[in-house]
Amino acid sequence: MFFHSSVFSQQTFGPQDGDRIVFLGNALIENEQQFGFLEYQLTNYWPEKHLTFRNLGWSGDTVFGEARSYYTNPPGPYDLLISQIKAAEPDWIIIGYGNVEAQEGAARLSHFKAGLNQLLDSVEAIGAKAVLLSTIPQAIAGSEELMVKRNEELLLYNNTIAEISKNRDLAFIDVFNAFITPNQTENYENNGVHLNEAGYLLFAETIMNQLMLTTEIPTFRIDASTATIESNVPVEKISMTDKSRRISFNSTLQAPSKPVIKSQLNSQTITVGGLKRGIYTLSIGGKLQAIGSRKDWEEGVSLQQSPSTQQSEQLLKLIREKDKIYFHQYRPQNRTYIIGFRSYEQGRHKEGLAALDALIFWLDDQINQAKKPLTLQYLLEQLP
Amino acid sequence: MILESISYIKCLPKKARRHQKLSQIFRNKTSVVILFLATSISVHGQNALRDIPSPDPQDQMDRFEVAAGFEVNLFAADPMVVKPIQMNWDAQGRLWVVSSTIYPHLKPGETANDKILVLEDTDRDGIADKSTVFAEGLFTPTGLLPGDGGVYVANSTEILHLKDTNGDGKADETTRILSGFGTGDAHHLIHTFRWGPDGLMYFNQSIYIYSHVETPYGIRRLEGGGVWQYNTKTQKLEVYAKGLINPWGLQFDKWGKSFLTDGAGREGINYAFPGATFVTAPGAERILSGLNPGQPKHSGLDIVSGSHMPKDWSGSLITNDFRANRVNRFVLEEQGSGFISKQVDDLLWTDHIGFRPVDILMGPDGAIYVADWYNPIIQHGEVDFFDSRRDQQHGRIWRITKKDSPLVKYPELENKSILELLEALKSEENWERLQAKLILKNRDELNVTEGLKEWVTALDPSNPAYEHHLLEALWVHQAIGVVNVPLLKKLLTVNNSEARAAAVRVLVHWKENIPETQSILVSAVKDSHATVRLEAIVGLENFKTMDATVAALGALDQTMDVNLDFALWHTVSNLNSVWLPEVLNNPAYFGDMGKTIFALNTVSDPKSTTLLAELYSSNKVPDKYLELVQEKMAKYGSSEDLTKIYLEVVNPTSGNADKQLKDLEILLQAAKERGLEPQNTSSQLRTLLKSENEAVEIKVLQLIGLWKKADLLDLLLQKNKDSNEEVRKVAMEAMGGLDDATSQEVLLSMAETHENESIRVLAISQLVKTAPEKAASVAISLLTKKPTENDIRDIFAAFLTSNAATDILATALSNTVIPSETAKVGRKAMQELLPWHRRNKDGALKLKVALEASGGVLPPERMPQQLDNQQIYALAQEVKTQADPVIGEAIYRRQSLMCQNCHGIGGAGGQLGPDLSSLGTSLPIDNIIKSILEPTESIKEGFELQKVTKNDGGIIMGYLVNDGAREVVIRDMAGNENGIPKSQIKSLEKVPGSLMPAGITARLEKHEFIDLVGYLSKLGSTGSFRVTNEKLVRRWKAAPDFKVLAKMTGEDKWQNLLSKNLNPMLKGLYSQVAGDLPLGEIPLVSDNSGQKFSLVQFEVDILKEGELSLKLTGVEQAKVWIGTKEITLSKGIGSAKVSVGKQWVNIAFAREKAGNGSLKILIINGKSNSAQSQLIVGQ
Repeated sequence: MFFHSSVFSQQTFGPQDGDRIVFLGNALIENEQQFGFLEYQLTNYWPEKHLTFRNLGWSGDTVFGEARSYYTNPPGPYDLLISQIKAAEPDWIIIGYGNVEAQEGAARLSHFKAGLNQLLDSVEAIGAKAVLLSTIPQAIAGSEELMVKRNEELLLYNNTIAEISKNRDLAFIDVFNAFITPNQTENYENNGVHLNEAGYLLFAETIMNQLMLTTEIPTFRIDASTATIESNVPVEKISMTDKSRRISFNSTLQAPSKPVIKSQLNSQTITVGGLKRGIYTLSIGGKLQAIGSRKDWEEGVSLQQSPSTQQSEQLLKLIREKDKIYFHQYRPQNRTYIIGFRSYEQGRHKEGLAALDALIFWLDDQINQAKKPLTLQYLLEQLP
Repeated sequence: MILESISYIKCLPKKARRHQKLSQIFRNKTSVVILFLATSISVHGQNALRDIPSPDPQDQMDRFEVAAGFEVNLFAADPMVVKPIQMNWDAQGRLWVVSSTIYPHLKPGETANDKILVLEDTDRDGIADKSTVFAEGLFTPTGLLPGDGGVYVANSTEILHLKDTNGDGKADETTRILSGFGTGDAHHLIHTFRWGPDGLMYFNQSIYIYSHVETPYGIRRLEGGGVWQYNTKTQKLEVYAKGLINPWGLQFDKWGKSFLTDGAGREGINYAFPGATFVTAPGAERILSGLNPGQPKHSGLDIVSGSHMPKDWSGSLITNDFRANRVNRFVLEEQGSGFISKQVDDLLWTDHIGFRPVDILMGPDGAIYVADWYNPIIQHGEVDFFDSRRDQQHGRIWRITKKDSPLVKYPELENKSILELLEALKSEENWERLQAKLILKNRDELNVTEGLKEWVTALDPSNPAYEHHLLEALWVHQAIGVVNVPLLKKLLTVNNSEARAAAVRVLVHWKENIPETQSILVSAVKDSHATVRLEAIVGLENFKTMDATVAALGALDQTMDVNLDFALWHTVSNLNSVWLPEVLNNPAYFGDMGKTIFALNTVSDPKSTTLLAELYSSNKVPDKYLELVQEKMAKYGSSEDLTKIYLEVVNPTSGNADKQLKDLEILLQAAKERGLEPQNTSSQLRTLLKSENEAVEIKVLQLIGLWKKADLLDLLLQKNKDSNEEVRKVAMEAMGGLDDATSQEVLLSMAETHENESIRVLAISQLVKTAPEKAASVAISLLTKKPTENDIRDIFAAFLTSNAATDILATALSNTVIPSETAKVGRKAMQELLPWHRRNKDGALKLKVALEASGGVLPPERMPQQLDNQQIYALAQEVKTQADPVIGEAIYRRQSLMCQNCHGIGGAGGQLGPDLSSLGTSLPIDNIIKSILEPTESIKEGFELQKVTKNDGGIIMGYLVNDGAREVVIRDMAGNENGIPKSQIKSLEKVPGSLMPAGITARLEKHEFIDLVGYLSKLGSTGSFRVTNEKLVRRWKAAPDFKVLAKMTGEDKWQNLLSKNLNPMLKGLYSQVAGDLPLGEIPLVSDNSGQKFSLVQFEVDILKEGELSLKLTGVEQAKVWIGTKEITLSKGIGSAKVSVGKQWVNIAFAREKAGNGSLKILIINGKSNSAQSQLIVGQ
């Protein structure tokens, strides 16, 4: 397993086996669960570690937990925020606040600063380690003038977040600039405030890059004439028979580091040189995956579907399912009646919510199983 | 889930019990399977309770009653439409329905698959023949709106726009439009999506929903109920109106005025304008009321228009009383800047409890369509989410048409040209105008603008509808986002005031694009019509300038009304950073004391309070603002401010005796609630105490205690010898307040040895506060000597005021035996006086044990109060078969049960609990029984108990009336509203529980209980237990047999009484459901010749002057005065001309001739010059 090692990751973010990572923030964080890309990339980076994730993002939220207000009070919004963090039992907490607070401008910057420090104190007291994210830019704002103002304010708040993370010796990830692109709105929902699928992929990648948790896409360069294989992943049991008309090797593969989505395929490529004339098929784990002429293989064949892409799809599906059920559990509809002040009426359904733990834990386990690397046989054969 | 099913085990059939065991075996294994098993068991568990009508639509049809001249047909039913929540038409005349089968709550492990259905009547025969599932996989969708090439859908936390891009009738493209809406309660989720005539999208949310939406313009938050406004073109989201408990219906009239109905409120139609704020809005300082106080709760709303309906129905409002299974109609009349609303005859009603009309709309054929959610159960929180009686599979759309009236031809708008669409804006059908506008909204902007120019030029100014056509053109401009200043300015000067008002609103919407907006608004505030002034005042709030402030306050130069007052208050308050510094600097700045006082009252800045105190103490406040300013001084005045008032008390300059009393009250309130005292008080108090006026004397005594003037103890002792019991008591209380060693000694010695027992009791009561141990030991020695029952009660009352004191008395009592009679009185006092939340505290439990040890055992309950589900079910069957609701009503009205003290019927009665008018049609019998036996288990929204903890540690329990920015208003146990300044509040907490005491029916015989429940279960159903919409007097005041009255001779002298202020002595009485007041319940008064008379009154609010006519039945030869003017009755009918304002109507009659029947008074409307009136209901 030379290609995955935590020595490359920053000192400031290195989850241990069994760790719980919590995402906290406003809609930037809440909406991530629709895609699950960040969780996917993080969990997949350490296939050998059992990691679990909980998303505590809440639209409109601030470091004061303002969006967590509801009819039942106490707890006040901030107390509720802290109790939700505690209940999630984080070892790590990735915090994405500031986009909402920045709307109050320079005048309220010190208020934000105090709030973020207060929150970080609480996080520290729980014993969790924080990673701070910057805000993301706003791509549409009603008028050009307002947009310029908004983005200036966002940068101002980013500076404060950076400064606080420096003072507290915490990792700070600046995702802002990654979203300043010529076709900026391509990464956003129509409102220019929230990210879309492409945006969340970029969001996850930016975070992985900055944490220096990047991995290469597996490539295989086979030279049939010399019976050698060059690859950035481990390869074993190489065999070439029938005058190089039949080449097989085993490789340990896992889901691709980047999730596979419709708009962006990041498949592995196999290049085979020195083949004899003819048509060759490639099977992986006994399943036919590609077919091509000698020339095609020389140029390199990109595997759009493979056991690892299927693994990727499965992993994403499980992550999204788990997030959805967790959302229903910690932020259920009818919570006024179930856990709020009218719980004397429907409080019995608290049991139903608690019972969701079984499903969530089961899915956590499924996710950690699904990311396990598979050792598969690659077999290139000439068609008779 | 698992525990839930166990709790049902008692009533499970055998087969289910086996399942139960099975699931228990599985319990220890973590498996999804368990969840589903347990769910299926709980369904079996309540099968025994099934008592639901046949879901056959024909059965429902047969039981419908329809207004004369109308008929009803089934447009669609399950399986074509299932569980409809909201419906809306598209331009092609298809009916879009949003449906949720998981409502009200997703079962654990279940996946939501709620749907959008499209119903089509392709052959236009009034019956849907096609139903398409447009989208599925939704999660509790509660609103939908076709438009912009697809459909907008409320999907829990978000709004989606779904589109069918390939024409197969199914959505294949999803765009998320907005997100961040709250989900605290599934029946309050964002709902009722409607297009406004301005092309903007409006939707509602209700009390438990707290939303935080991130938009391109910034964060938008709405906590609690309200109406959102969303511009689908610019993505601008704003809060349009706030409050109400469950704002459900939402609709706009042809001039763009908006109306709301409330599914949980009780004020009928609510008139909303931008910024309008109603009951329950968090942080609101001022709220508006609905137009029909005491009316039922309503769902859905539409406004009648078009050629198919009767001409005189046009503009009337139709809405559903889903609890009573009826469709109501209201007629509006303009009044100042708002409306008077009058309920008229119902459109549709039935005794079929499955009929739950939740939405109502006029259709493209001119008929009325009613979405019937179909469910015997409507409760959300009160009945279990998974109760098997909840219907999850049926649904109907009913269609109501007028007999012998041609239907409207479908206009086929889809493929029309721009000019043809513009012509459609002349239609009298609201539906057609709206749909044409929505199509235009999505056509090419330039072409539409060109077309509009042409169309407007060609309009005929002599057409009576010309100004409305101009307004429609302006709205198209607004919808497409193209500003047209000349057209706007033209509309601002037209004759029709509603068109001018609508234009002002469009102007405000365009304020960023029209530089002269502020100056136009400044002139619009001077408009001759109140409705235009209202819009202008609201608009001026956007301009943080002195000009805007001065212009807005200019509204005070013309007639004001509640809406104007509300809007002006808000605007001036919001602009305070502009004007307050100027006015503080120069109080004469506005050049008008009324305006200055009005403005200062809108802010809470201490400097403004000080200025008000100066103006008040120098008698410069105009009379109409006196009360407001006095209240402000009491709540917010500083010690310095109060000193000014104190100096005015001791040296009055106004010569107004009432004012001196008022000022004393201000000082008392400030001292009681905030512990404030003016500077340099004392010597003058001695002088004041010599006042001839007893009321002044009492207040001064109270101040001595509160201000702890120990140097005045001699005065208190002297007053204590006073023959007047009340003065004596107050003096004693004041002594207790002094809290210094000398007065404590005096009190103790009085408690121990005073010859007068009642003074001993008073002294003990005072000592409890400062020296509870000493008080307890003296109290016990007195209790052993068999004091009077009243004195025993008073002693216990004193110790029961706090848990600590209760505990001390209990400890002391546990070593002593007191006479058993005395102990019994103590137990009764505990039952009556201890609030429910303290009944299980240690002190109370200990006291109970101690009293029982002395023989204080209460007689056993006659009606058992602890019943399990099976016993409740059995009882419910007895109610069905044996109850006599007529006897039940008499039991309900018994004084001893106190039902009427807290509950109203038809709005008349106590306001502490929910109105019971339609209880029977909304709550199954077993739930009624349960809520009587265990009141805390079943609380209606809006009746949640609140606990206010004050900074000084004091606790106030009650219902929240309003949680404003500056103060919280709580309705206490006595039904009084108390405003508590936020600065004094440490925490405001909702606590589970009810003010309704448990065990209230324990003294009833079982058959009486059955009759009582029988009566309650009939309330609201068709027949004699339904509150009709006739204007019957339901709330009365009656004169008791009082000494003053006995001095009068003969009924002719009654009128002399009318000028006297009898109010505090009067007894509240309420009519029976049928609207009559039994004569036996009206007190008898004897005059000095021994003749028996009765005097009753009722209050009516005259909204518009004219002739007030009434019809009196049940009493011969009654004398009736409207105000002080006697009217003559002919066959019970009489009338008088009345002017605007509240009036008392007095009725006197001799009892000898009256018999034993009941009195009934009906307000008659209908004459051309008749007054518009509203009967005052409530407590």
